[in-house]
Amino acid sequence: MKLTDYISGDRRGRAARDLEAEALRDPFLAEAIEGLEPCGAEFASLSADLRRRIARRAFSAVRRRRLRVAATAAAVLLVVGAGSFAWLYAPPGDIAVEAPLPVGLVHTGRPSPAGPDSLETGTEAGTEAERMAAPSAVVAHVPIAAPAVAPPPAVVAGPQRQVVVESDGPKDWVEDPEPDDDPSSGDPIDAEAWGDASVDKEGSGNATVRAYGAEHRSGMTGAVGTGGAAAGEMRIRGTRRLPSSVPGEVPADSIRPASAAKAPADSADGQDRPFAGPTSARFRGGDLGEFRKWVQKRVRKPEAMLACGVPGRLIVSFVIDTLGDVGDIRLLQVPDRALADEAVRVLQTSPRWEPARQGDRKVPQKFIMPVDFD
Amino acid sequence: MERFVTEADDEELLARYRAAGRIEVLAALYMRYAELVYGVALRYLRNRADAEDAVMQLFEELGDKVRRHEIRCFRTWLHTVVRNHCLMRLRRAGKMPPGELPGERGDDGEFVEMLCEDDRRERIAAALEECLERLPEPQRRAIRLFFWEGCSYADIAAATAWHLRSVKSYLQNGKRNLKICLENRMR
Repeated sequence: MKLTDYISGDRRGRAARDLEAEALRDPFLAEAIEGLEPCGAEFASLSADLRRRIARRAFSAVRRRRLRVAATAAAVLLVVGAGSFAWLYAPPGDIAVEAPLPVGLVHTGRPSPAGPDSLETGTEAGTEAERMAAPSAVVAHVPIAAPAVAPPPAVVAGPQRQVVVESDGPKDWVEDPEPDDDPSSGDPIDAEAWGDASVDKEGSGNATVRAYGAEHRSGMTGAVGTGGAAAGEMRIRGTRRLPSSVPGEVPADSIRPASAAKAPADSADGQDRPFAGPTSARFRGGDLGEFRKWVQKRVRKPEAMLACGVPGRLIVSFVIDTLGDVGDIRLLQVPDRALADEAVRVLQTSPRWEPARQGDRKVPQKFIMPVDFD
Repeated sequence: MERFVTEADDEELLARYRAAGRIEVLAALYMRYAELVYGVALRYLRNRADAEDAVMQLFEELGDKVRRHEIRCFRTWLHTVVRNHCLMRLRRAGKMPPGELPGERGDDGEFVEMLCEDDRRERIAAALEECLERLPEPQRRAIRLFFWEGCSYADIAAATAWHLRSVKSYLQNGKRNLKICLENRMR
């Protein structure tokens, strides 16, 4: 900005003279310079402040905010309504997917959970042994998942992942034992094996991938195959587990059962071939990196923000549901409201992905990704 | 949309705002003049807090004003609006300097343009030289350095050891005298 340069004294010689000549012709500029001259070098920061204030004022326009809140509320209502409808009316045998589980338990093999564990032993001794037994049971049932557990989770060292682990982890360890005494209730570990496997494959750069609801128990298909009674029992357990495994998770839990409930429809025949390995959701034949490029190409720094130099990296998480649509967009790190709006806008225009699969069944998958504005 | 906002001229943006009523467009337009508006406000109000306040308040009122007025040139219109807003503030605070009236500056843009361009100066070189000779020495020197040599105010001050304020006043007065002289000769 030439005026800023001039007032700060960075514009000299011919360039300064040209601006002065311009001021002789333009009373607006002349008066402004007259007023600004005493500011001197301070002017640069003063004007940046001013621009920021105007931008903030413009982008916090109440009307827009209300509209957005209303739209979000409507969307949530719709999804919850549809979800519960599907949940209630789905035939019992089809409910093969339980509520998606909070993933990100990097600490399986690590000693850290021993802390909360040892505290818990006083309350329930039996569950301890049960939990210890669980992984081996899972490995026995799901041979595919076993090798995925083996590689050390250190492969993913993204900082976001660390944060997630710390917030989610302990809850699972505390909550896991209580709900039912079914010996096959090693769900979190099962899911986590899946999650780690997908991360190993997809975790590149600073983009993190996590799996959801990929909970695929080999025992399940057996139960379905043997008879309706067993399947019914399964279903009840599924519904009962929902509140117990979920409460640690935050807001949009209400949405997830919906996406989970949709899964069975797509996977009616998936139960016949349950032993295929998990595959991550694909975006136009590429992975999360591809999607990030796609987003990066489309986000525009809001014009009003351009001049104020608000630094722009935000971290978003979203879920690719079984239909391949982007949903449950959450903002994990937001430097500025306007940037968040823009990122959400672009994410919502995403074309459909090819959903993640566990065997032949489509499953929702959660991704975490940075969006940069520069 | 964003490219449009950065490339469109003021009047296009204005039309866009009127059509769609989107405040971002208005903000983008206002942002182009934020410094100028602030500067003018500072000049009249002589106080940073008041000036900032005026800038924000004007932005609040701008949408309404834009809709009510017919604007041919946004830049000059905005200048008038800012000046009136500041004068109104001063008047309300009882601080209105009686001598200071808006629009005191004569419109000599055309004349300055002529002085700035070499070939246009050539055309009236004889008359110009004659009138320059009649100016007092400091005024003549300031005019020559600024328009002929392309020196900035600071350069002139450095070259002549005059105070910056004197440079401006010599230029201002020299310009006015020159114009009067030339107009008399042309007639």
